[in-house]
Amino acid sequence: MSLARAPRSPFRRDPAPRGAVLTVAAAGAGAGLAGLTVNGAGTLDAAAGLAAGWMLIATGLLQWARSAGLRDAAEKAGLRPVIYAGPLLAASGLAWLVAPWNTPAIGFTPAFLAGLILYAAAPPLLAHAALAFPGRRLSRAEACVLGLAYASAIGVLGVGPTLVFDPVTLGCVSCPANPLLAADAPGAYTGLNTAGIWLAIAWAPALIAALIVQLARCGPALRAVKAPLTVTAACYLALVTWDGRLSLDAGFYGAYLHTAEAVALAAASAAVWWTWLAARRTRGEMARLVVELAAAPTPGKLRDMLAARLGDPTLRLAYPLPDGRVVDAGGRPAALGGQPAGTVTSLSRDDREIALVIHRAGLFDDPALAGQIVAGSSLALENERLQAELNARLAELRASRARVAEAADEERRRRERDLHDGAQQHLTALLFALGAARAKADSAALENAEAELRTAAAELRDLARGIFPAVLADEGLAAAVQSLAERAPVRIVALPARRLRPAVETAAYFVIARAVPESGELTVAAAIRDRRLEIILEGAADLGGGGDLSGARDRVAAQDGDLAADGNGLITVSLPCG
Amino acid sequence: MRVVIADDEALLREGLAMLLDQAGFTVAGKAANPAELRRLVATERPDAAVVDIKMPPTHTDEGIVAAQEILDAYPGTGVLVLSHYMESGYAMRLLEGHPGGAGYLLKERVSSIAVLADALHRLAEGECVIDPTIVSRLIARREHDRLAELSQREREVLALMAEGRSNLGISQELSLSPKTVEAHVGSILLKLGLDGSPDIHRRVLAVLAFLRSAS
Repeated sequence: MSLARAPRSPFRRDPAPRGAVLTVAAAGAGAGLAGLTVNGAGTLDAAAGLAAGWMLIATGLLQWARSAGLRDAAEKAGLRPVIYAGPLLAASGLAWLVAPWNTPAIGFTPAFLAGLILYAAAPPLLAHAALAFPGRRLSRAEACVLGLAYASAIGVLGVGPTLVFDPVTLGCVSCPANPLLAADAPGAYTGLNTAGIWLAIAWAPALIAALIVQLARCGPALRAVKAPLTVTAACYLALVTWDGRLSLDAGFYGAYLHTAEAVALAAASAAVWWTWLAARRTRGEMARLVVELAAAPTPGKLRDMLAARLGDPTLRLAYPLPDGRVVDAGGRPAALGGQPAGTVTSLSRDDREIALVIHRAGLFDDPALAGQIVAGSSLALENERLQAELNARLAELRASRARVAEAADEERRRRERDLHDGAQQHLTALLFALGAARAKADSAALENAEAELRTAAAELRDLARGIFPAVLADEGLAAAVQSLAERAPVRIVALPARRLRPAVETAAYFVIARAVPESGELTVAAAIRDRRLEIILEGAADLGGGGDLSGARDRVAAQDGDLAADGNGLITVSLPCG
Repeated sequence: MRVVIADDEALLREGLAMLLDQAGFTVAGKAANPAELRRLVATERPDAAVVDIKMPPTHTDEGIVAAQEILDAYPGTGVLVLSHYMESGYAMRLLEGHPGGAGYLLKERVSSIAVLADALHRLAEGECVIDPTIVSRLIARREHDRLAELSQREREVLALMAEGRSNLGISQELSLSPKTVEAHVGSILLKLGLDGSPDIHRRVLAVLAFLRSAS
């Protein structure tokens, strides 16, 4: 399955972003170096800023490549993730590196303009990346807050001041000219800046709130993936808010705050790396599980693993069979009826549905996360689906065997009933009549006739009793075997006292009755252990050659039990009796 | 002696009525199902009821259930259950709640008027009655165990004990003096390790249970 492996290198398997990756990386490197040369801050701060920017760019590009690979896989599995969290991360890193160029001292007009316009773009870009990570679609409210933040950061703090900023007026003679200058209005420049900062003090906390609300609302598995980036992004936004406050009050730019922001951004990159490691661990576990399941298929183990990974203890797996039925891992029919919308997710491979996941609402809100987990478990899912299909077929076979045995029993009982209700009653009535006749006129002939008739009635009684005595249905296995022991060489060691399912009692009695030998004695020991009826028969008749043993075997197998005969008179039977 | 009959087969009901009539009993009523039987017993208050084990609705053990109800409600009324089943288990069930006045005979045996009359008279006297065919089969399969310690005569006495007969009945049946029978009974109970209860019904149950138990 195509989901089985995520691409290791963004350059080897995903040609699409390659050009963009190289371009952005080169631009980031250049920007960082340029920033380093012109920034008047201390060397440590400059190095931290540079490292944070580069880390974000690299992380973003790698995330982009990863999610591009996962997107193909997720789409094949029927999911539709969005993948722009990576590019957004890289963009925020780039904006972070470009921001210090807003000083005319840069000496290069396009760079100066970029610095001016993108001066405050990094915070909304990072918040956007964190909200969309790893592949989530934004809610309307989130999009609104983000839109306002972008408009304020790039419009009010970026483009607006750029249009009214003339470096020459502000006393910088050597500065490059501002080609976008629309009107030299120093008052407007200061006003826009102040307004923009005030707005930032509003939208940055609003973005923090949006991040927290989103984190609170997502499922446990998605929360585990999102939490690190969300927390670090929120820290960064908090620092930005503080930064705004300070620059309003003091009008100065604190270098220590810049360093702290750089550290927060570096932590955001590290948070994304951490999710990669976690995903790798999941894949590793899934791979081990596949090997384990291949060695010893255990229905339910994959479910447990997915339930733990996805943090949904109610999770169930179901497998569609070619004939249209849907079964669980054990091959039993799976009930899907009455499931609320959004709690059944279909996983497909090559347009063929391989599994249905029944889960808590909202579990698969992030299709990228789902795709990632499905990618890791696809082989195990496929394996279990085949196992489920096999189990379903076995169950069918068992049911049809049980039906055949049941039909044969029913036919036999019907014949016994006919014998009893017909011939036996008439014989008995005749006996009564003869008895009455003898009372009137006794004769040797009448006495002979009565004796003959009595023998016939006794023979008919034994015939009509059949293989299943009434006492079996009436009083259970123990009474029936006890009764068997009264007319056949059967020694009872132990019998279960309680009643069992009729089908189990019938199967057990059938085996015991058929095992009674022509000569010698059959020893019967039966007990219930671990919800199974275990029977040991010693001195059993050799049933191997005839159809009897296969009949017994069929009956036991029809009840999902086991029968073993050693050929020397020892038969062991184990029947589930729940 | 007044007797009521319950059997869902009209043929057998009539045959049985004819037999009882020949044997000198008064047939006070005939029922085709347990409900009719209960009504008949309540209104006619017979000395005994002859009841088929298989009756509607399930045709399994309705006769035993009805017999137990009658024995419960009308002490002193004997109930003879007729059965096609040679099952000591049903006989034990019938006796366990009400040893006195309960009987279990195979249907084909009652064509002998002597057997039928003897059983009904014994029931009316408060004895219990177990079909000798069942008892002899139980004894026959126990040739190799503790029953082997009994003498031939003792086994005959044991069989009659299991059939529900009193010491007096046994002495008449075997033409022995009551004293001799008493001695045999004591010896049998000792050899088999059974409780020598003076209550004859308990004695029957104990002997039957011993005979049914696997060796």
